Amino acid sequence: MSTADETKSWRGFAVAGLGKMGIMHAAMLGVVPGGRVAALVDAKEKTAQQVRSMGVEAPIFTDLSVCLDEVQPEGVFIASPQFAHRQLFELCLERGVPVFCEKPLAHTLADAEAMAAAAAGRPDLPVAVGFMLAHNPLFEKAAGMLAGGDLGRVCSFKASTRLSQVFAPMKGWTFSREQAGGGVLINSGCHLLMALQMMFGPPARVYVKATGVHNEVEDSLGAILEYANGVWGLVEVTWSVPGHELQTHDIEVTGSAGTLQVGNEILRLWLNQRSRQHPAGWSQWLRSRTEPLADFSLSPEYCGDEFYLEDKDFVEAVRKGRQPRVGVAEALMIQRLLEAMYRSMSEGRPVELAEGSER
Amino acid sequence: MTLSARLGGPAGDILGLQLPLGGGAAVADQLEPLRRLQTRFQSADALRETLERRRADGYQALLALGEARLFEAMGRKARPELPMLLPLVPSLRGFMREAVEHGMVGAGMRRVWRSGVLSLVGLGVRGLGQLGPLRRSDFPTFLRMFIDLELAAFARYDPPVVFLHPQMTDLAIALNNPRIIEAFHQAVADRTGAQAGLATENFGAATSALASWGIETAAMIAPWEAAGSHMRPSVDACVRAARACPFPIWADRLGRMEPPDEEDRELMKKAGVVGATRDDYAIWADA
Repeated sequence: MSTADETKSWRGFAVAGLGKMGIMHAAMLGVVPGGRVAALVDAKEKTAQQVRSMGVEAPIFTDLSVCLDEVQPEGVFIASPQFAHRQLFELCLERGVPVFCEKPLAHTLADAEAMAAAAAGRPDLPVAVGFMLAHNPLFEKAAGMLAGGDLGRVCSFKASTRLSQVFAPMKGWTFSREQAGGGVLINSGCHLLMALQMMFGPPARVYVKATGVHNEVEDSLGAILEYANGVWGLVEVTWSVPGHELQTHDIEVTGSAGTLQVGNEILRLWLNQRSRQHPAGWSQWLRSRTEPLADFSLSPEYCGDEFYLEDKDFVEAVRKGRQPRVGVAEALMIQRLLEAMYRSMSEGRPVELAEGSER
Repeated sequence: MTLSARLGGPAGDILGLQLPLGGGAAVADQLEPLRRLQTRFQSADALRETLERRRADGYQALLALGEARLFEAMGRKARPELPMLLPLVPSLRGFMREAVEHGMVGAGMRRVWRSGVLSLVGLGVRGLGQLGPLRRSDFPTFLRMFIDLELAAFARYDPPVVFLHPQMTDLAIALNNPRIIEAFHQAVADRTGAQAGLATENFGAATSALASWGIETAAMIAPWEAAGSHMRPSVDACVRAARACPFPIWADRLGRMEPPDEEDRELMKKAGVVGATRDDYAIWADA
């Protein structure tokens, strides 16, 4: 519980970039404990005006630098397109302002590494990256089961991110390789890669085949991920498949003792014989009944709890002067994996993660 | 006749079509039966036949987004052999997809302009008078125009209640902006003879917000199930709040493909929740 004197000194947070994610963060700041929007920042003033007319009582800026000078927010949520992340991120850290940066960290590995270096230079500042699946306790629980040996010897997995979104040529930065850094993999599949990283760590080698069904960027891809311990996995990422109006992330793991299935909403474990903790056959856990849950959700059917929890975590981290749960180190590992996957895609061969150079 | 008696079918329930027409989220092992249902309902005739059967079973009302297939199935006007339509507006599905390409403002403008000059003229002088604020990007005005456009398609079915989409209700609550709700009420009053209801995923916060804003609603749809999933802030708090509500409440099943069980019904009864919205597989399985 915060005292009245403490809350008086809370200046609130700026939201920079007012597309869908910026609006979501502005709304979440209205409901997470201690949250408040101190400023709205967007290069297009009209966009900011519209968001303010939604009910966000905060001054508008078209330049983050001016906002930092005039408002001195406690932290900044960067929700701009990823090609603009680095400039905003570095500006905040130079001014000593904590940052929540939407995923992916950047559109290129070079930008991501520069951002990680900037963050390393200010270890006193809380820095979060918006990989919201990392706030879903089902994936954490699944990772715990694998690490704890519930599944016996882990052999392989199948994983997918599926979304019904792209069925024709599309416009906008999301579909520009230059601005987004790629297509469905970097924009949507990076969430799945974070979940896989939580469960298996970084792979040693990747091999990716992809197709731009409708666009210059990849709309669908298949990949093989190989790990140093012998585990391998098949990954499918697509935004061009019907039946997934809301994005789904699913992972099925095969082990010597059974099978584990985990997705946004449900975790199931099937064991071929009873273990110390779980019965033989099926056990299941629903996201909607697994703590932590959000006190408020804008979208219970797609990760509404996780959006709330990641914003709550960042606000709390700023106020307590600690690091948030998901930071630049984890995000940089994802960026390196993305780099290797895009390299494999373009060169048509398996790529070792240790190779690591720019595309 | 009370609203709950007028709308409620067997067990007080109303029908829902979100999952069968391809919206909402279903977990992986529900996809196959759902896909069969969605394929079947590609045909407006099949949808109409099923709606007629449900009406004959006693279901009186159907909560629905504005979908071309639904309007085709319903015909040109309301008919007694079909359930009454309860519009859920605005339909955010296509809008959010366009927002990926064009941004939120761009997608909104495209939607308004794509509806065509004739549609805008059809909104009347009041609608055209809104174009000034629209250009100035006033969101409640923008929302009202969206809803106006959607209600124009629903109006011929004389809906008794129009519900505001939960994402919009909850955005208004999160941003503490009663103007969003007021804009919705105004659009419903101007465009139809219907009452205005709210759908929400945050029941406790919604009832508190309405009380603090001094805004009344005719009905509400919110998550209810015995396990307490999505019942925020808690089952007990939701039950207490529901019992104090002067308006009927229907239980939102949030993508559940099975019907409410005895425990669910028991909790609904305890809270005075009049019935459930049913878009589960069981209610449509004979399609």
